[in-house]
Amino acid sequence: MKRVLPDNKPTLDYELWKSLTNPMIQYQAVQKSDRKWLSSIDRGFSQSSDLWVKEGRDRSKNDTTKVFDFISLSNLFESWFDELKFNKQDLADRIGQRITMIPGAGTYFEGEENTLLEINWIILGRVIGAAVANIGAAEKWWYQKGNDAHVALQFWSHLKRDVVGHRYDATVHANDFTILAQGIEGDNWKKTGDFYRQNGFDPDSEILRSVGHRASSPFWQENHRPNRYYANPFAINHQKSLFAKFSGVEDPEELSKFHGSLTLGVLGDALKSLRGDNPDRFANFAIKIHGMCAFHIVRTDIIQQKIGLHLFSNLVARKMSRDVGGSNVPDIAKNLKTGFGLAKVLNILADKNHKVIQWNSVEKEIVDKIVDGLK
Amino acid sequence: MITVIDGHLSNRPAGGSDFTVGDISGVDYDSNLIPWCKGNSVSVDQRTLDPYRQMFQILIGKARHRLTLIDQGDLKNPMLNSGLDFSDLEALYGKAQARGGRRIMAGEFSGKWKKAELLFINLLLGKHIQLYENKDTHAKVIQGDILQQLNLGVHAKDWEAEGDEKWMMKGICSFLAENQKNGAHIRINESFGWETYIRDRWGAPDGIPGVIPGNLTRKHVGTPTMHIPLHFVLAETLARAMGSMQETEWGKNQSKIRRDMADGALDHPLKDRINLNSFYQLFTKHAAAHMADSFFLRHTDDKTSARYELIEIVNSEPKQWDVIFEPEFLRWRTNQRTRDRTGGVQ
Repeated sequence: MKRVLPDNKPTLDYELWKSLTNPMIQYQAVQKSDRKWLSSIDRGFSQSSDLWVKEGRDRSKNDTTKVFDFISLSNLFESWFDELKFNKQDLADRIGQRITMIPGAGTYFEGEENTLLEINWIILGRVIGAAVANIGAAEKWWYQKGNDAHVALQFWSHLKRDVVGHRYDATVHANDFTILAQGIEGDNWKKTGDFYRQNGFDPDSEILRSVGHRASSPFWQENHRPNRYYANPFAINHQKSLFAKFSGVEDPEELSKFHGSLTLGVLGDALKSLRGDNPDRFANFAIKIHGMCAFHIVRTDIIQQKIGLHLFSNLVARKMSRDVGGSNVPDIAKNLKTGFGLAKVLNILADKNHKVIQWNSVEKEIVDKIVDGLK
Repeated sequence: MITVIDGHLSNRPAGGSDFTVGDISGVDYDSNLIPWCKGNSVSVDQRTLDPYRQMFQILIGKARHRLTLIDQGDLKNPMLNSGLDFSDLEALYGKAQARGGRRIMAGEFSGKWKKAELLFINLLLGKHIQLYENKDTHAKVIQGDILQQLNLGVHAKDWEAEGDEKWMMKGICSFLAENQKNGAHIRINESFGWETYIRDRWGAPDGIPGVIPGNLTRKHVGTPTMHIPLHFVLAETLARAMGSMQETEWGKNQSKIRRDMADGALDHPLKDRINLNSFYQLFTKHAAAHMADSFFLRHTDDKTSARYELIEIVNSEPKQWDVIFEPEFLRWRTNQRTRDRTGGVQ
């Protein structure tokens, strides 16, 4: 049944957003206090929540004006899309220069440089999903802890330890990605892999990702040396960023309860860096995002996919392919059917520290009038 | 990937359809195999299909290793370590039988091992694997006996039987367990086209001066002759087919959506597209509306996935779009329809 857009014409989302933003902005940002309030009152599955119904929701605790919510990708992503559209060759050249400075990157990306220009939004969605799950679990909003990301953290550390061996100075070396850049011998790979295989994660299955998209793949094998494995140097960089952030936090929780915040923090830093005037900022952004995706090697939790992969890819796909700047939440909630409280998810994603999305509301009356005019 | 050569079924040469040895050309992946992959690749979570993908990965990986050693002239013992053995399965799935507990009887076979057995049955029936009783001896007699029982349906009858009559006590996993100390293993049947596939997937493509297509000794960059991981799609397809024997059939819904999309496109005057509203509605009809948008992005991550291109319909008001499907995907459906019409004969 119709909530905002007619069921048989979901593509009116483009005209609706255009009408809301042109000639004058008819939406307003959902303020922090309202986001918190909405998080606290959102109950049940997204499709049955009272907040996302066709009648709209109260604007705030003290204002009963009915509104519909709209979410958009952070406008910081906009500059990335523009750079890709209007300055692609320069971006490729700059990434090319940057990788010459990263040990092992030349070998890892040889012949696959074109993938460096393309962000793997599906994996990034999973990264975000695992992070949101972890943050919500720490708040005791749900039980899913984003274990995928935690196992990934453990695996990378474990792998580096196994490669370096039990040396007195192993920790120092374990932080040095030049070692992994030289390749991992089959025995070390098997040793680490066997432990995780017995616990439900097979790192061999992740090698396949290098076939689809080398830039965001965690591992790669040369065709003629089946017993030698290479780790994506960007992933090792990402690990360094995560731990740098972790060590900079005052009184952090234990890592298993905190990795979601760290991940979104690193993503937020990457997004904010797009605002500066460093000519390499877009190349650096691409490298950071590829590293973040490559680092995420465990993809077993189906439940968190809905809040990460599907929610995020919905926004990305519509923006990239049809320039739809914002989507209404009631229709998303209806289709997503997630058991995670959607207002809580949106609250996390809209946090000012990373601001992956922008969360706005529009008066129901205005939206209905526009939609009626579009039919 | 195989053809009749001198009266026998034999592998085609590596190098693709433009490369010929004598009168025999390499494999034309574009006409059937790639469309088949595009139609059958599913995006369900890897955990569901992993047991099958992992096994295929090991089988193919070890065969590839063996062929690489042969190409490199390392002929000390190329038969060694070329298949999947009992210890590989234990490393993947733990012990075959339960110790017993509140919810599981002692001696109950683990679900993963049962899945492995089912996969092996299907692979053996399809001639994709061979059983080896030690490092280099093909267990022709035992393999023949097991095949005979499979053809008689003994495995289905005895699947839930008790004690030694249970199929798991006399099937392929049991063969691996009993002959573990002798080096028993399962090997991909290289002569059933798989050698060509491995060489086309990981070996040198046609056109490199001084290198025989499919040679595995050198590093090369760029697109291989077969750029799609067919073995994973086959593993997933077998898993889906076997899912109905055990649990839910994974990816069934997606298959229906893809069939409906392709049918809609083939019925369009331009034979390659459907309206974007219809695209979304098909997903909604099959209770998968949340997945629709991610299909536009899947190809970045998954080479086996079909590509969908959006194109704005000129002068549409309000603005409308069509989804254009790549020809390989539509060929999959056309081939499928032809097979249905001809009762499987092509």
